[in-house]
Amino acid sequence: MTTTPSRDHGKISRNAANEETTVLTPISDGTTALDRIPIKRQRLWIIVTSLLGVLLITAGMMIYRLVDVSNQWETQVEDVKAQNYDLGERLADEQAQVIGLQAQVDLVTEQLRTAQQRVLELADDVAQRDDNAEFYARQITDLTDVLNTASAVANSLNKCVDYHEQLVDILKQPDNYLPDEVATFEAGVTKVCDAATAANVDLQTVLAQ
Amino acid sequence: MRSPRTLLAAGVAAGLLAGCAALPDAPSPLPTNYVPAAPVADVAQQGNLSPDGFSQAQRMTVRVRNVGCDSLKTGTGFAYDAHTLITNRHVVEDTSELQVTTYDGHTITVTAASVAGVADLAIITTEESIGAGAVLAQEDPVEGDAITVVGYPNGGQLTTVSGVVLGATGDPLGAALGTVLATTAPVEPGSSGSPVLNERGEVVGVIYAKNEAEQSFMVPVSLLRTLLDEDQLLVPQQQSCNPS
Repeated sequence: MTTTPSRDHGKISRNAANEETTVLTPISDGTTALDRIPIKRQRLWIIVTSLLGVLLITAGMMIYRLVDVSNQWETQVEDVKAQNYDLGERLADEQAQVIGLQAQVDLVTEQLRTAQQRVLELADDVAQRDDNAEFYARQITDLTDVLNTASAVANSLNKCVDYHEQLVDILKQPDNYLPDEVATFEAGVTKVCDAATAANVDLQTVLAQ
Repeated sequence: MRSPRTLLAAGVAAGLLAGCAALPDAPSPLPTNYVPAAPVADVAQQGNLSPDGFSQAQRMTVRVRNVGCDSLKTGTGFAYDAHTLITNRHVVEDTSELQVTTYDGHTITVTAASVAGVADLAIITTEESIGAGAVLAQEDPVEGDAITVVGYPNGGQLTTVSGVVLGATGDPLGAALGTVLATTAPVEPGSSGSPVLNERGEVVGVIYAKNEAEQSFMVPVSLLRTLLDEDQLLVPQQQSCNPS
């Protein structure tokens, strides 16, 4: 609040140094300073003051709200951090279990591979054994055939020998037999012995194979 | 018309409201459980593995023993369905008895065999079920395709080898009508009748021969399909020895 000095009411004095000093004296005419402010400006001041008050209250509420929200966030950050540590520990445990289980899976896989290989080997062994069984069965059949042939050849050769012995006996007693009978018997013996010899040659050939 | 003071008051009020709206919210409650729902087991990833760990290709491939009238020989075959096997004609020819064993040594009784005149292929029917059969591919493989051959080379263990298709060629033995396919898959006597599989596990051919350059030859699946679709192309194979 300012006042305008009036030359009519003020006193002016000079000092020795020729300096001029002005002294303002308040004028008391029975009115306050507010009374001298125009009504319009008073209302403006009231409104502005009210607004500033509202703003101050609002700002206080906002600050309170922000502090509260900040505290809540801080609390939650601590909770999240604790849960993260918990999850981290659980994750580490799970990873350790996974590593252990993976080792077991690798071992079981290796065992499965070994078992599979063993199954294939056993199946192959069975197949080879059956192949050999079939081969030996064929060999036995062939040997049985050869044996039967050899037996027949032996019988033929025995007959040949027997007939030869009979022929020798007949020739020792020529008076008891007719010459035609002797010749016929001798031809029969020769035929049997030739057949036995041929069968024996064939047998030897088969055996040589 | 509103006075400037009213407008000022309204502006201040709007500013306050906007300021309140811009205030951060309080944190929402934390979840009680961070563990996601258990994932659903993907059965498709189990592939074609069986409970005993052998693949479908191994399970369907059988060893064929031909107890012949003058010889004993072995070959390979594979299941087309539960009671039908596919192999080569030369594997079942001149036989007095056919014996079939599976990958695990189980013996399957053979009831009949038929051979094809148009290709080195034969069909064997069995008394017991072999299990799931092969899936035949819709088309023949082309040059460069990767293949897998499962069989019993030299009458030994069940073996899986791989190679690529070299392309179509004439039958080096002159036994098949049309063309056959040459591959780089190493095979041996005893591999005859082995299924040739593509990368999807489908049968794309049947091994029947090899040459000195270590190339193998297979009857393409298209010819096999023709044979299976037309029964009149099959001639019953006599399982007895004719005295000569």
